[in-house]
Amino acid sequence: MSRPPPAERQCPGCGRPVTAATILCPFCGVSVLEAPVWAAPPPEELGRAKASRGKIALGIIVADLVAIALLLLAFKLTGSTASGDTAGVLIGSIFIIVPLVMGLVSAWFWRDLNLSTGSYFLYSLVDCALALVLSAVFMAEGGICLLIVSPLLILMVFGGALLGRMLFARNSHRLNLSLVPLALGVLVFDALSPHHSRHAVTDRVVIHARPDVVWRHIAAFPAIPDKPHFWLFKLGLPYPVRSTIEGVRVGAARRCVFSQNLVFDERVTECEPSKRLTFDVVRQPPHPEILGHAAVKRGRFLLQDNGDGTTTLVGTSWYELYVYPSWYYGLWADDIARQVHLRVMNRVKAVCEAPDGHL
Amino acid sequence: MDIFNFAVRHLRPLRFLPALPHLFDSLLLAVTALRRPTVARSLDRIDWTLMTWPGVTKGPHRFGGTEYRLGGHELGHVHGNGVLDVPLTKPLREQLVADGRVQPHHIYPSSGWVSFYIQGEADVPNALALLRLAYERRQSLLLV
Repeated sequence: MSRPPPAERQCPGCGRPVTAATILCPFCGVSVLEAPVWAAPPPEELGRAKASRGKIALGIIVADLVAIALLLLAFKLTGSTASGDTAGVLIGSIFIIVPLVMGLVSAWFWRDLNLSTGSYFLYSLVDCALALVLSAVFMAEGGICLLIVSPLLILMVFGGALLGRMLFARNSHRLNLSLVPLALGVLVFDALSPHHSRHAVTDRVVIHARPDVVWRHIAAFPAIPDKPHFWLFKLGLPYPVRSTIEGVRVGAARRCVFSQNLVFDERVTECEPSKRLTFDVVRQPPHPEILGHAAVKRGRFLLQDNGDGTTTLVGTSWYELYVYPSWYYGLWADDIARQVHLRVMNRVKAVCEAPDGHL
Repeated sequence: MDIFNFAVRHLRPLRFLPALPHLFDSLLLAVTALRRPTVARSLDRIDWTLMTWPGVTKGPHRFGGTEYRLGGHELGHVHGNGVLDVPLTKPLREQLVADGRVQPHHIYPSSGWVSFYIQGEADVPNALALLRLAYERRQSLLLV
């Protein structure tokens, strides 16, 4: 066996001496090649850095242009106007496939830049921010709607970019999978599929009062003076303030007034004193926030006599969602419906439990 | 049980759907990068190091994740949650598992594959050492 050549350098990882022929340090496994690829580029490569910034910007801009094209296709196929309360259905592909494709497009431009995962996240965030601004300007989306959509958007754009990074690797040993026809196919299929999403949210509050006392305050609950605690209400989402009713009977008109002078016109469909009050929503106020993407259809109060002088007040709302995926937006909408219920029902509770029935 | 193990154990038939495993793994990496950025940084370091090794190529692993190859043979692959799977020999696997440095492969525990869970930058040297073993073994086979 021939003698190994004398050690000529040190391992940059552990500092131990290694031979000139060593590629990988036998002690720590780190490459001992002289230019670690994760080092910052030297000053004379500023030209390359400028080209990198150009490619990053191009990746973001082209991605958003592609997104606009896909959105127009989706709106064309669904017949949606994508604006305000006449928006129509916003299919799930708009919030999943389109951002994924945005990420893929960006990654194609960034494929030679050797960016870290953290950089991919940062630039994906910029990508999303631009998309949200465009949505606010051209689709008249409210700020709260954009806030709700942003976690999903960021995750899908970032995921798409990482997918693209893997697929477009310069020295990949595999042919790149063409995802464009696949993504388009999913989007078209989604757009042409029927979309029906009905939800019901139920909440319960135990009130220390008899059902006949509670009944007096649910058809038309008095004004709620308290400022809202729910963070979305604080940000500007409309919240219930008071309600009025022209009479406690089937067919009577009821009005539920929200903040910002928004009024839900309702009509009583079931009325059993001290037991049940059901009303259909006949007119919902137009609003750029969530009200443009969901329609409340019906509400119901049930009064359950607990037999001990207390009443369990059960409030239920039925609504339809026009924005998908419903598993994501349903979470938000259910929570908002719950907060509306609790604001009203806790007010009723406070009034019923007050010593003289007034607050 | 985390989402990765759930998918591997209960959603295995879906792995043959085009692009689905790659999409799943990319989203897994995105969530990992947001929740545990040190794992994502570690995967970056491993990737950058491997790309300096002569003859190494990378691409998507057929069941999700990034695969590294030498001369058309796999050196190992890494999943988005930081699980590194490396093919070794059974005797070597037994020795490493006995030493407590790695675990048997998370799907094929009886094979020569091992799984190493990268949880932070301190795991990078061991991960590279495992890949070095596979690299040198494959290199010597190519030279024969």
